[in-house]
Amino acid sequence: MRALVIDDSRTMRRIIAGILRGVGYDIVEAGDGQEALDAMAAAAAEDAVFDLCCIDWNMPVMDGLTFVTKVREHREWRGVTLMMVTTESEHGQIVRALAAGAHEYLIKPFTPDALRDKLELLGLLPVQEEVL
Amino acid sequence: MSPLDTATVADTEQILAVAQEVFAALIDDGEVLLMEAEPLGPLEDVVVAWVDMTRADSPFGIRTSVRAPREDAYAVVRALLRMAPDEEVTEVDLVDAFGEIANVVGGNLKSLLPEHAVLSLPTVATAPTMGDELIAQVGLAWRDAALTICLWTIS
Amino acid sequence: MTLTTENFSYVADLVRRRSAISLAPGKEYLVESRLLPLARRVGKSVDEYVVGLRRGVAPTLEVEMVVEAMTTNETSWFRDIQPFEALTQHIVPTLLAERKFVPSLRIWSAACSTGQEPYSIAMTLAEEFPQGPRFDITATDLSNEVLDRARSGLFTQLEVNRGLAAKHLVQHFARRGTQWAISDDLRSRVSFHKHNLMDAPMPGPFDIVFIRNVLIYFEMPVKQEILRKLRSVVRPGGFLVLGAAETTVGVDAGWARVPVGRSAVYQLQSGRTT
Repeated sequence: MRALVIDDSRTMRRIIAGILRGVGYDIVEAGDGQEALDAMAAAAAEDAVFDLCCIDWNMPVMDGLTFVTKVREHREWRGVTLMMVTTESEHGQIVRALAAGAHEYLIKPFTPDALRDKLELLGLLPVQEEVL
Repeated sequence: MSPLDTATVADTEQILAVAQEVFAALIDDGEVLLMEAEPLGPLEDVVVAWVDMTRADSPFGIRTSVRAPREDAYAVVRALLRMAPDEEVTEVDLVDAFGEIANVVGGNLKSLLPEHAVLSLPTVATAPTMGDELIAQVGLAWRDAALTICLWTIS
Repeated sequence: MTLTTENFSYVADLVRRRSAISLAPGKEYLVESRLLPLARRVGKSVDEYVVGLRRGVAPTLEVEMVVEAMTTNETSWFRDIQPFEALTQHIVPTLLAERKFVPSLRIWSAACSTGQEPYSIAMTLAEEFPQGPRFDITATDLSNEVLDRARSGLFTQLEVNRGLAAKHLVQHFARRGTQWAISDDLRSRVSFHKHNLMDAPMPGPFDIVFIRNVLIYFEMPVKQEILRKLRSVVRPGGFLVLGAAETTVGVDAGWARVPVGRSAVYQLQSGRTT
């Protein structure tokens, strides 16, 4: 399973990537929406489309909402699950993201269990891990 | 941001609740180990990270800063990045990770504002920051570390 | 931090023996934090409190409370997901088909804790069966503290992050400060009561009983007694939903397993009185 982790914070990318690797994902990182689009295109060219994108909202160059909108314009990327991972937690913001085409929404701060729960909900948890 | 807007965030209990959730989730696997404590006085060797909330239609804003003695900042960063006890914390790690703490705390406080605002990127420095007026201050204890969160109006 | 390494090891051993949960070195702060309320109750530091435990001066109940304090975890919404799918795809349709008229469904959520299970049931029924039938959910637990929290319908951001799909969050919850409040509509469908499964059962009759990951804590005779009591308040043809790894096989012959995926769903066979 492959995931694209998109956040302008190196720390946050590291945290998310760590949790995803722990359940068997290969990770590519991007620091903004434009880098992420480039990574999506590169993956598609290699016939290795991502299963999952974890997307921060507020980023320079291109924000997460714009990235989601642009991805949803590409029919060939329909199979990619898009999950927002952000501090934006107003009801209206969540509605906006879902309306733009995001499949799921994880509010920061989140525990590793919470991220894994979302993966399970989405049918994207390849390894069942009992964390004690 | 008019002075009225600050009431929702300049609330010690709300700030404590947000800080507790940030530490519990990102560092302590859901466990609340962050408690209220005495705010820090002036310090020799300090690390400060802050984010600013602003609105395009207002000259005012709110600055959220997180301040800790250098060694305590290292401890927080080490835990956040799941580093080994003897692993070296580089300046890049410190700036990015401590900045992210301020970013997530500030981001959550921003969501409490009645009107939508924009959050700046975090800034990290070794000297305390200030704004126009201190509107809230919360001292915190986490394991053996001490931190203080301050809210300032800025213009 | 008062806890010594030696006393931390003592607690870790105790917890491992009683619950199979492992507390590796490094979790000292976790133990200190979880045992602090228990220690404060008797005016001691955590280390002094554990010293008391080791001397054997504490009653057995105190030891139980320590294990409970160390092993309690956040509950999640739609836990295991399968029972909720079974509810939609099999249980409710079966009940509607097998009866000519269903005025309302009565459901019991036993050991409901802070309310995620009964509210998840409510969300499922409200969304999947918007035209009815009416339903009401009786939710029970031993602890007044968790029941109060459940009744409030208020959940922290960390709690709503656990297993709750974003579409459900936006549909059924509104923000209140840093917390999220479930809608008054769904809140009104659930009543919370303090109840001990060892006592007489909640007054039925119920169509569905959720009793997940609770029976595993009881010895066989007690398990059988509880299931017998449940039978007396469940309508013939009513359903029992257990935890994923649980079964009534070998415990109580009055229930027949319903093959719905990997769920532990059982239907009460009428005519059985033993």
